[in-house]
Amino acid sequence: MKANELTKIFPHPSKDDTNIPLFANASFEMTSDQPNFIIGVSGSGKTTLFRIISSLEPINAGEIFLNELAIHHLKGRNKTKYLSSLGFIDQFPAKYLSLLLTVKQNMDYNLILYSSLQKEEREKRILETARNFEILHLLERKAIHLSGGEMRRLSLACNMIYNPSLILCDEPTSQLDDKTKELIMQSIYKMNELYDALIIIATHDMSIIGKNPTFKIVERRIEKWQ
Amino acid sequence: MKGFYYDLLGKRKLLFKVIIIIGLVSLTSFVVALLPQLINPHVLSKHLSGLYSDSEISAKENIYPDIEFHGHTNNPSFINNFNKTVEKASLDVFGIVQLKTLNLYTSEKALYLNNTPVDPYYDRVVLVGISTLFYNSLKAFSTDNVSSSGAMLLTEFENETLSTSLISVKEKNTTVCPNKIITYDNFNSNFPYFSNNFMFEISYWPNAYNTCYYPCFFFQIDEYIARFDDSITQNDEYYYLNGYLKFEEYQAEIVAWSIDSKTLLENFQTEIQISIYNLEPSAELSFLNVYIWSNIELIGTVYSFIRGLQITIWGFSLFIIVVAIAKMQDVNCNKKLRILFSGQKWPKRLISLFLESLLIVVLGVGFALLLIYPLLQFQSLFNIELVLTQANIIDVSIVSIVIFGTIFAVFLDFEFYLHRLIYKQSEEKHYKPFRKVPKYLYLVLILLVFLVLWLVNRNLIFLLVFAIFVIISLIICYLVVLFTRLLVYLSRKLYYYRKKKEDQQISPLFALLKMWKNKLNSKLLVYTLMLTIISTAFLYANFNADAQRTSFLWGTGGEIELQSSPLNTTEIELNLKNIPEIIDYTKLTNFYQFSNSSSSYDFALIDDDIAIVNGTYEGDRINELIGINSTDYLQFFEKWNKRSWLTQGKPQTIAENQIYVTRKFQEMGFGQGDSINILNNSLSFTIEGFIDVWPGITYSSSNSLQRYSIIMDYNLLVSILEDLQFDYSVYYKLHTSERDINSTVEKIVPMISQLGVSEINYLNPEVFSGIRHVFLRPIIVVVQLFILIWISLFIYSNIDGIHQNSDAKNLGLIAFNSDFRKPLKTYLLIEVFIIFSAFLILFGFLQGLSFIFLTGFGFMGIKTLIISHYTLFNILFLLLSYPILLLVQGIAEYFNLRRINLSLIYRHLE
Repeated sequence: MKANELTKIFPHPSKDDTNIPLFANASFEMTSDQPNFIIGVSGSGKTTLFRIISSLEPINAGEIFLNELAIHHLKGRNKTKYLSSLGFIDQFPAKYLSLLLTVKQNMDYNLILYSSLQKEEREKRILETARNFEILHLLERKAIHLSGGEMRRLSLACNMIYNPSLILCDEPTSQLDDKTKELIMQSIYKMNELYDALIIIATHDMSIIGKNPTFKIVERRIEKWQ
Repeated sequence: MKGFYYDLLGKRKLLFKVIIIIGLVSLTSFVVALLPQLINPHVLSKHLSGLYSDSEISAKENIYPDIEFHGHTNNPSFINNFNKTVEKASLDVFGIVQLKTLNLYTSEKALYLNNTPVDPYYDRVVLVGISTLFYNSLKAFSTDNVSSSGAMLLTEFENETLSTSLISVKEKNTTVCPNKIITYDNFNSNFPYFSNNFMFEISYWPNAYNTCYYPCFFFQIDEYIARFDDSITQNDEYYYLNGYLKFEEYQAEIVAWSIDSKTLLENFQTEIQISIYNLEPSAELSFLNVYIWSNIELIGTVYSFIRGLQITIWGFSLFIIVVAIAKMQDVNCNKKLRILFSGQKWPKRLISLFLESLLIVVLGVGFALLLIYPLLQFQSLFNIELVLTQANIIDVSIVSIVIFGTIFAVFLDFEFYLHRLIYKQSEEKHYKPFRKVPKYLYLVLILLVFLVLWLVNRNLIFLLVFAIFVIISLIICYLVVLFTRLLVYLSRKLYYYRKKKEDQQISPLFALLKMWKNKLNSKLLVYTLMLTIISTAFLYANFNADAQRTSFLWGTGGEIELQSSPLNTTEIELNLKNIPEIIDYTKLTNFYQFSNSSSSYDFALIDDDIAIVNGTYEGDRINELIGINSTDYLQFFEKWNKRSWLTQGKPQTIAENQIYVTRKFQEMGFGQGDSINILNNSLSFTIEGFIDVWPGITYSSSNSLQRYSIIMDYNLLVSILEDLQFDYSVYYKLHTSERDINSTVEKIVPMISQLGVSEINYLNPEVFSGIRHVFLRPIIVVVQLFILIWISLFIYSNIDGIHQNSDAKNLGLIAFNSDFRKPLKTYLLIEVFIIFSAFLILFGFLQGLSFIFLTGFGFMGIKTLIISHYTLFNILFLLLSYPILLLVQGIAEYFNLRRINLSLIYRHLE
């Protein structure tokens, strides 16, 4: 992903002639070699950046590309197609899962929605993904009966099962104990190895960043953080 | 399809609850569609027809047809086809033909020239042309029953002989030779409707005697035309037509008590006219009098009431459907977003929304249909009969389609909401249905509903009246709710400041009252609104019944009234004294304005003298001279409110030279203390007061303004009338307890034949329970439907599980520090108390309003209202049953909330 001179301005909620710039000529480049992290204080624009990357938020100036695809210009069917190629994980994965369905059914449902695979191919993909995320033994268990960590892994599996080109993670390790955090990060690293998807993680938790590429939003710019 | 299957499977618990809710509201909607069965024409006739005709027993039976015809033609030969014409019209318009009697005839008066009837005073004869069918009926009762046709003589005299008569018809002489005779006795007793109609017609001919039994010659119509056409139609004269129709009771009820009675009768008349025109273009026939139809206001009120109940229940049902589906979608919002992000094409999404709506409706309606039969059977406990007929299948279908449309509309609106949620961050986090629909569209929708209902009801006026009534009820309800909320708010503030002043902790109960403020306010509004509807109908039914009953009592002057000639008053009074059920009685004498005939006699006010005038006098006449024994009369009405009897003066004993007069005299310029003389100043009276509403004499203020009536001393009036040899009647007003009325009447009935009592009027309590019956039975059904609505709201409030409920979260906050069950119990009791108090305020206000409206503004024309024990019992029942229902719902809510688990409330879904 490459962003050049990204500018995003919001109108002031109460003063008509005043604008609030969020990003001003911000540029960055991310690759899929490793998971990419974005850090910044609350209100710095992490969520807005995710919306821009998802093409849900227009920009005032600049450009942003995913591979050759100009995200900032997407409209209509192209936009829909792009959205369907994204994966999204947040701190409440249960929101997007059907708790009364089994693990297998949840994965199957996502495959039906996001791909056009036939039944046998779906079965194969489910087994393969479940193995990758170490939830093979949980396939027949209802999602409501999973532990916190298991549910996070299911969420990751459901997002990766249809091979998205981009995964956006918003505080994926929030409210987890250290052991579970480690497990989740391992899953994410594994995800990065196995799938050719750009992974972007927004977080406050400095302990999970490690040596991965990290970008900090500061003073309306997005800078690589060492 | 697999995706659709997963979508439904993933929310199956939620879907199940929604289907139950849809089922319950469908059930209420179906049942409320059946409510018009409770006010079908036969029910209304049974329970309300007595309001328009007093219960009376007469010496002489009054025979009134339902419709009288009047018209003219150049050729009345179509009379033979008249019956078939009317039968066809009846079938076309009413869908039924049940005619008790029907006749059309033509008549012409003629003069005897040389024949000598038995009584030389009869110098005229009537020629009558009738149908062959009727002629044959008459033949069966005639003597000298010769098989051939020919003139039939109707005569008063049994021993009349058949002989040729020379008669003159419009100055053309001809002879008539009857070959059959029928006597008036036979004629009157076997053909009472024809007799009544015929005699009435004759009585209006100039110079007709009041009790005349003219000889009449009946001819079959074709022979009548053949013999008299030249005479009758000379100088382009017409044949004049008269007739009558009487329906059998079943059809009469349909004709008189349908909501569109007026239109049906107009159509009936039009169809008869068109058919007759096709038979004979010169014939013109119209309905002269329609006795059967006079109830349109009451019918309209009843139907509008039912329609109002239907609109309310359907409105509630639609509201619940919308919020339940909206809640389901909101709970499932993120799952729906997943579908949206997947890029599923809109036709596919539309189809899945359609299928989901269909599934919910089919299963919901199916559930409702399973329950409808037991629910309808349950109504038999209240003596209410509701059946699901083939005709109701259309209602069920329409309701189901509307429910489907509503669900689908909410689904579609939610799709637009999702779109806004994704692209506009300013969108609200929780879905509110139809938020973006412009407000004016709601107004258009309401107007559309009214338009549709008018097209169905065909009576916009009553619907508008009811709409105004509903708006007023809503305003009253809202004011009461505001007032109650203000009281609760002030109480809470007072408690809080007291605790703060004393530096004490606020109690968990107070915390609950504060946290559940909005919930209490909503509940207060909904419950009070439901009770406004029920109370208004309740009070209308009961007070209207009491007002009608009071009006009867004031009009008649007692529970029973007798009319008799003055000949046997001593024996009558002796008999009355021997009936123990009669608590008291009084009498008055009444001389009515007699008739317009030139040979009659009346009293008229000429300047300030009451003089006798004959039929040629063209001025206003005195309508009534009423004689009372004032001491006795006032004693009889001792317990009655006398405030409105007179506008000036107080009702008191009057001497022979004192009178009370109606307010019409005031218009003529008379004042209190002025003098009126009688019979060329032979006697002089002083006006002691002006009558407003005097029981047994005038029944409303407007009645007093329209009539010249004088109340004077009984003995003086009797002596005046007897000196003048004028006929007059004596009226006895009897007071008896309501339960003894029927048995007392039974004892009085023999006086009709034995003592010359001509009429007995009595209060029939069944009549006034009819109003209660008509209005309260639908309310009983509606109360049950409100309970079903409450159950559906209860399920709705727990739609996403008790632990996701905001109420549970509030309780959880309390549960961290102390036992939450005790404050919960107390809160629910306080809630019941507040809601019931609001109802008491509302009910008291509505009761006062009804009372003032009925008595203060003279709605019933009277200024007092006698509350019956039925009304008191009904009010007591309502005041006891409502708090019991409130307690039951409180208990249900307590058992639902007491089972919450803290660990489940404050646990993340992981």
